[in-house]
Amino acid sequence: MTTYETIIGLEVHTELQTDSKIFCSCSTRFGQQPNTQCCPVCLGLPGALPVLNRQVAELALRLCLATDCSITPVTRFDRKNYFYPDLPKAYQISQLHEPIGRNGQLCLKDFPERVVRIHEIHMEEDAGKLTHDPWSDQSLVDYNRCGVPLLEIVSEPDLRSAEEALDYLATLRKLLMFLGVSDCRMEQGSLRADVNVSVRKTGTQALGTRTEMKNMNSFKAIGRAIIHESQRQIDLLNEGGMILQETRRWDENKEMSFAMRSKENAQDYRYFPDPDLPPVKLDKAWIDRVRQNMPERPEQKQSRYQHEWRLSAYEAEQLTDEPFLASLLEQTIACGANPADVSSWILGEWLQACRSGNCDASDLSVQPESLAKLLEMIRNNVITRTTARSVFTYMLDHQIDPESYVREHGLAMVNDLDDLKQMVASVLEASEQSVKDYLAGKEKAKTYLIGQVMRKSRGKANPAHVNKLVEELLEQHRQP
Amino acid sequence: MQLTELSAWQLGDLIRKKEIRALDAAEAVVAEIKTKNEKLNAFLSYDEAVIRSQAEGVQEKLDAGQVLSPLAGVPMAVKDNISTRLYPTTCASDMLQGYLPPYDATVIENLQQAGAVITGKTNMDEFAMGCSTETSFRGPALNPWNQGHTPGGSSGGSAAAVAAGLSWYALGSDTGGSIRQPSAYCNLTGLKPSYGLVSRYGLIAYASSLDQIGPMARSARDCAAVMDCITSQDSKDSTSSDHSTAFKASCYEATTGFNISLKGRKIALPEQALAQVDPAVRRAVSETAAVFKDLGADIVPFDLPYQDASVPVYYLIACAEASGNLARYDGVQYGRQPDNGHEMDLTAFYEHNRSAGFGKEVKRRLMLGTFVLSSGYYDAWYLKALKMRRMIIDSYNEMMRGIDAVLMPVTPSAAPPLYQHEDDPLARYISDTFTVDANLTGRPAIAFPCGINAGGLPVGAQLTGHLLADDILLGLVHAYQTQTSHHEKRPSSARKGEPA
Repeated sequence: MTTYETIIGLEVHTELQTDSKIFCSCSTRFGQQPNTQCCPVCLGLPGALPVLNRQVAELALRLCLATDCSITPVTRFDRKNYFYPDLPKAYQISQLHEPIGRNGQLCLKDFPERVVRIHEIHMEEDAGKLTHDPWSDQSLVDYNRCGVPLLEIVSEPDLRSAEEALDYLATLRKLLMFLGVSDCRMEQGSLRADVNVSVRKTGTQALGTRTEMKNMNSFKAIGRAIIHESQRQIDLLNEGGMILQETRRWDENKEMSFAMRSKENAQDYRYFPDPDLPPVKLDKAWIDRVRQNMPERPEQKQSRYQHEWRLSAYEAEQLTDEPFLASLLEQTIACGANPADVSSWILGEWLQACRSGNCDASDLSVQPESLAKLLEMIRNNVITRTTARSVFTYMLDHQIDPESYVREHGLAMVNDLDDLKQMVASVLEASEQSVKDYLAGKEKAKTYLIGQVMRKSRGKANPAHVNKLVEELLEQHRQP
Repeated sequence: MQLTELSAWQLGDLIRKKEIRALDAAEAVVAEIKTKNEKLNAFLSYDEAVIRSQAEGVQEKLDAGQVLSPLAGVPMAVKDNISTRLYPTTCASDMLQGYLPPYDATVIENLQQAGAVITGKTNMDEFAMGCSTETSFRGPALNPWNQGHTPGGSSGGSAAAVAAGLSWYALGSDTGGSIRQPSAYCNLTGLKPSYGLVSRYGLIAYASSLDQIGPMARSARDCAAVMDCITSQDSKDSTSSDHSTAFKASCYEATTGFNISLKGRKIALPEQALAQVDPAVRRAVSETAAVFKDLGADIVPFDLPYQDASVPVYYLIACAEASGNLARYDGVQYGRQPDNGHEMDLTAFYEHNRSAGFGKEVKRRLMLGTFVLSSGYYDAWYLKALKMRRMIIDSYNEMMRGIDAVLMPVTPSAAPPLYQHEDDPLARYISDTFTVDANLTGRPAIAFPCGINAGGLPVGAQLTGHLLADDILLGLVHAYQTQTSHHEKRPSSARKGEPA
């Protein structure tokens, strides 16, 4: 039986994390009332003119440098002409002839031998959003998204499986987030990917005819679409059919794709240089400045955490999973907390709190200063870990200073040996059976008794002391 | 004293010295517009109440001691492709009937700061595509010198208004000669400024890399005063020159403090251009050269570079850019939608709206522009035109070294009768042969009156200068106008109170 190899290339669109739009000063905030973030420029009113937001070029430069692209010394904008109601000028300002970056590369995480070449990175403006209202049979346009800056990152057809494609997307997403280029929220559409898929007989060199798949709203959908499309092409070839070069639309509910338009019906966008926007010179000084202000990349952070702070490889990887965790770690350490303590608290209590609250890590409002104070109290034996946990839970909903809170509520650890001795004695007195069990050789009974003492102290007893005292007093029971 | 016969700066002087009030000037011009506009069709919109309230507002500021500009209180007219919140802005097209912009063009903001009183919006060729105002959705404006003739275009309404005494000056826009040609046809002085000197923000684009707003008035000194009001570096226009701010005020100075002697100035005269034009035009331009010579300038020979290529290159680039610029008029936001629009698919809907909303000439140019940008034709047509444009720019840079300005006709003849070349677009296009180079190269060029032909129609001459040296051109023409009186001639119909 013939075996086939799947060839995948990705076109990723990502919305940039700028405050204002690419060619005007309107806000880019997501989720506002429709058509409240518009001006003559992004509405394409007659006579209005675009002016490039330099921050867009800077963020684009960051990504180009981070992916080893060669930077186009004089980059230019082109008009892409097509009619659609969400595009008020009837052209999109994009880059065809001189994109900002070319010939870059990205290394995958789980496929270390695979280096994906990046064909180009270019800047462009987003279009508005159309909503069809089936009740009134009307289409409504929201122009708030018009002019939101986008980067399109086009890979070469270097990926060979859905897993590799998802690895590429995850790696790229993480990079974009750590560079501060994009928040990459797929549910808000700030990261979108179109997939080019073709297949060829294993061992052959020539590329097969490719199709382009659109409309996948999640990583899962992208993976499914790739598997589905490569199988569809293989089945077609095995039946003696031919692949048509076409654009297909993925339907996630039906887990199927449908042809949208063929190559013959491809639109002629009549690109030409936009005369309203002079070419942008990316001189060495500008590039150097961007390079100097480049945020640390995730893998750099990971290795620094291991070497500087002696965190385990596992911890370092977990903490660089998203920028928020890394920044929480770094800020809390900067407030004086011990790195190992911070790491274990974030990966333990913090993430646990998110799981039980069903929210993102960044949704918890505890400040790094407060977390550092809490952790220092544990380290200095001011409070027990049990107390710290309940204080932390309280901090999730209340703006408090943990030190004053502990003081005011008398939560400090009980270290006084006489007090503790009394407490242990009374517990042993009340638990005759357990004492007997212990003396009969049941080690477990001791754990129970310690638990009882801790409970009696409402978690405040110094656990090391309690442990020692319980042992001592039990031994006293042994000799009547 | 007939107020409407004064020049703009003379009127401004009287207002500043409080010899007359801004409202007096406004009333005078309202009376003229009301008597003459119905016939001349120079204004597409004006509003007496709006004119008066602006005049009163300016007067209040002057009375409060504010210093505005030499033109404060002087009524002026604006071409209908420049966005104004005071009046609808329609580009003389059915597509934009009723469109009231929610913002003012930068030039309008600048003029209002300078105390201008905007009387209304002037007639033009639809979307500035034409040379006669014949393509206007509201019918052509008439030439005040002879109403059977065109006032020129596309800024023909502005020219007719100033020539007929309905305005002291006006703004036009010039993409391939649209300020200079109507200025020549109506005996006005009109400047196409250096590209980037005047902000295009709010100018409804025809061809973005060629369009430029400029003044049309009765003298170089008036044009200079207007330039000082409208020139500014504009952060809203990426093609705005960073020289604009420094440049401000140098124009008026060039004409007020000008050394009349032109000794040391070099003016080039391309003989080959004179050979192609009407004898009356040839004679008038030659006489103009003689005046410059008498003033002390050296007249030197010159060859216009790539003269056969200019007009084709211009139309290829202008139409290509226009096909993008005018694509937004698709009936979704502008234009009339069909009653049964909801039954059509999207393509049919667009086709209907664009077929119905645009006139013939606009459609012709949009088709041409769409064609030259299409896949398979881009390299052969559009890209070649861009390369040719670069060669023309380089040639001018080379050939104008050491030369202050090139003197030539504006048009091959005086204003033709209306609808003369209605069915022959090529004949119309070729008459742009002397004006398009300034737009292709971005250089400033000024048209000015230099005689009246046997038929009683004005003839104009043109000087093309160096980028951002617009003040030199204004100074040269001002010097010429101190020695000659061609610019002071008015059509008989401009007499006050007489119906046009």
